[in-house]
Amino acid sequence: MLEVFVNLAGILLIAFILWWFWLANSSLKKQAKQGEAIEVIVDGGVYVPDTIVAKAGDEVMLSFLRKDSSPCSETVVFAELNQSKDLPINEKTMVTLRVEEPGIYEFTCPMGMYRGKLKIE
Amino acid sequence: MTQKQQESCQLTIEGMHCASCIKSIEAALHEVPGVTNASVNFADKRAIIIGRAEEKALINAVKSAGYQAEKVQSEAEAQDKQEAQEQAFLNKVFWKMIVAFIVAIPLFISATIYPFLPPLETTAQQFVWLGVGIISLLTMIYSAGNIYAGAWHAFKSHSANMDTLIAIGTGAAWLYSMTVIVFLAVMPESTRNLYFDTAIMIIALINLGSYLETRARGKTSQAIKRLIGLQPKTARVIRDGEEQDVALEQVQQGELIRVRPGEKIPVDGEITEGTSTIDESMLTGEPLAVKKAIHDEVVAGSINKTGSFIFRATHVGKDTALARIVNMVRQAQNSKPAIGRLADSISAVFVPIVLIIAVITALVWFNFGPTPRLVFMLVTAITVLVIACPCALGLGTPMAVMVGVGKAAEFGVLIRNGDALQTAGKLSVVALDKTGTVTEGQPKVTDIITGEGISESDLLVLAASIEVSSEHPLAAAIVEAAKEKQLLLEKIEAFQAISGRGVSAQVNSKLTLFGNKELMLENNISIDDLNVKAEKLASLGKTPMYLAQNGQLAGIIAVADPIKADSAAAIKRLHKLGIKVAMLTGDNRHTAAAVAKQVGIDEFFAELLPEAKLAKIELLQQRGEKVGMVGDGINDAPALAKADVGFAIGTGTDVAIESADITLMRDSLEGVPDAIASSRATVKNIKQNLFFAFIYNIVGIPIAAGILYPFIGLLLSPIIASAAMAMSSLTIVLNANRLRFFKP
Repeated sequence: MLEVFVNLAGILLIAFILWWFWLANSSLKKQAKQGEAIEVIVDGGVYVPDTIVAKAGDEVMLSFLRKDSSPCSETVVFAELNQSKDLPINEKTMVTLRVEEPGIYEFTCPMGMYRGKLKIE
Repeated sequence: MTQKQQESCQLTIEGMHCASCIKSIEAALHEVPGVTNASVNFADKRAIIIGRAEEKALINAVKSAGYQAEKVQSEAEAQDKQEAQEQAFLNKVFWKMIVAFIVAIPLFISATIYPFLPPLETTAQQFVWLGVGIISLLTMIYSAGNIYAGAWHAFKSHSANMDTLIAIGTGAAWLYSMTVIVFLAVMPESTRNLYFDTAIMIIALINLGSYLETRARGKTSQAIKRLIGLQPKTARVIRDGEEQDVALEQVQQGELIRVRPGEKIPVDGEITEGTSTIDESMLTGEPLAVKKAIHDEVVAGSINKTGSFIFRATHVGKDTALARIVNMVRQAQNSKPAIGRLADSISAVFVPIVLIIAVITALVWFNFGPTPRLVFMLVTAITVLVIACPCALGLGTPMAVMVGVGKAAEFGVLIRNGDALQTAGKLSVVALDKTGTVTEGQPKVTDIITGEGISESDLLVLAASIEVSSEHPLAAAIVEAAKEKQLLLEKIEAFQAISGRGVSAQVNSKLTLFGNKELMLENNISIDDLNVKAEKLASLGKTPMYLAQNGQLAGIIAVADPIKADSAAAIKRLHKLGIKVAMLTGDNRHTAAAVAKQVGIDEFFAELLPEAKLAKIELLQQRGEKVGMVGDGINDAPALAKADVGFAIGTGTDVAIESADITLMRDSLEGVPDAIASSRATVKNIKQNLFFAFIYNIVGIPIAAGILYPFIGLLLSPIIASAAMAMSSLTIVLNANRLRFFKP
């Protein structure tokens, strides 16, 4: 009985990990509007929201507010766009981008642990 | 209120679309009490506000007009703040580590060496251990609260990170131990193990690793700190005829600034009064101080050596050459070469995979392991979680790029991004532009050969007197040579330029001709006496020009674009790095061959138009070569863009540093082997880091899962695993730091 219970729990746990981290979509999505800044909170290892949707050619303004004191979070890097910005703690730092090509552009901390997406449609 | 009593403040404005936005922002700023003037510059997205107004009120006014505003702060200010924040973080981590060790060490000693804590058997002992459990929990909250919060934040947003692994590992150890204490009666005796010491020791070691790593990381950004430190914090601005010290970020374009001996130059500008020698070595790597006088340019970050002078600010704030360099280095330090992207894509899925491996490990030990099964499954799963180190994977590339790009900047080599860094190390051919790259780019008189009855000075006076009226590029070299020798020129009459031949004029009523061989032959002047010498000069890549007076050859003046003193040495270094060197030039074959021979160039292409240079780059690429092109960044722009890596070479800060893959601040070819050697060293360092990170995880995780247990009975303790984890990322930071001592 215990064997069945433990094995079943293990298999369910693996299924949950697969579903939660790969299949389930992030609910922290925000649509960018021309001329309006979106606030992105940097705290506890994540960006909130972690997905920003914007139209190709629009100016996207992201106002990063870093609350996390870990040095890992002190820079946000848009690697494909060759952009990066230092984020002082408890201050809003504006990153302004204009991307012409539709696609998904990741923004991360330098080590790639904090991850967010800029979805250009 | 007079102008002097007022304060000024600058804000950066975001969200402006057109010129009409300026008016609405200016109007909003004027509404703020205390503001006497506000002007917005659309181009640099900046508002300058004069008056005594609160910064917050100004920012709110801009926001209410529908735009975003931030206070402008100097790089040095931002750097100081960042350092203070890092120090505060270090202090916090230090105390977290100390508290965790204070609790962990006695628990560890009691569990392993000297059991001064009672066993867990009676109800009274249950209470003692419950107390230990609570102390452990409080320690975990104090020393690892951020880790649990981080894990939870990440979980909510469907991601997992380092915190997730530590939180689950230590959380499981604590929960299991508490379960044993509370449900002691129902737990089989063999499973009554407590893991408080493990949980707290893991936390102590993680904090120790984090502390050491943060300290070591601070050193990786030394290059940028050094660059920022070049700029003083204040400038001595002359306002209304009075000198006053003004914070650097408040200095405005067009203002006059006084610099005294020994002071650093605060912003870019042009000297209006006084002379001095200025040391630009920190910026360009050029060791010699440069003389500067009125109308000469000065750049922020250079050091005034001797004189006192006044200059007019032409570029301030983020527009100074130094600020652009700092920005470029910083952007490049944060960019990722292709080699690092594999590790990046793995680290994105790494943690969930480790979670799955931990579950599988637990199940395998539960189904096939020895008794007590519950204990083995718990210990191995925790060990797997805490040994896995996604940080090692994530750190390898950025740390090495950070140090490598910074180190190159110290040699006056600005690398634009990670890809340029990586490709530079793979180059097989470097193509050099000739004029201004291999040579100095400014023709000079190199030889004066006189005929009978005339001195060198007299010959030069005659030539310069005629050439002063000429517009030919070589004429300037002759006139300059006469000026340098402080010779007085003669009056001339009937000046005539003969296209493709030279010039003629009457000097002291004598017909004087100055030009090439054809000019002499057409005027029936014998050049036999000096012809051998002239031919020899031509074979060395120099241009001999003949001077004849009254039908007689008086002498020859040779002009050449001198080869830079260190060109040959730099090309030798490129050969040593296994790189072939080609030369592309618009100049004639004769001169090109002579220059190529003197500096040791392997292959040259002469008489090329700028478009043809591009075609030659393509030709080299079609041969399968990885081609680097070195040129001045303006005339050679198409070829630089076509090459796998374009190097722009320029004197000091004149070049447009954003235009090329790699910019050489020093006007010397030595920068090319410096850049290539830095690139190779950095890429090698990245490879070492990634190799170590992969091997560590590939070997560490199976051992932690107990793969060696059936063969040699080896099972890792979670404490050893967490120590290994903390040390693995520290090892990578330290290895990247080795690059700081690199010398090309």
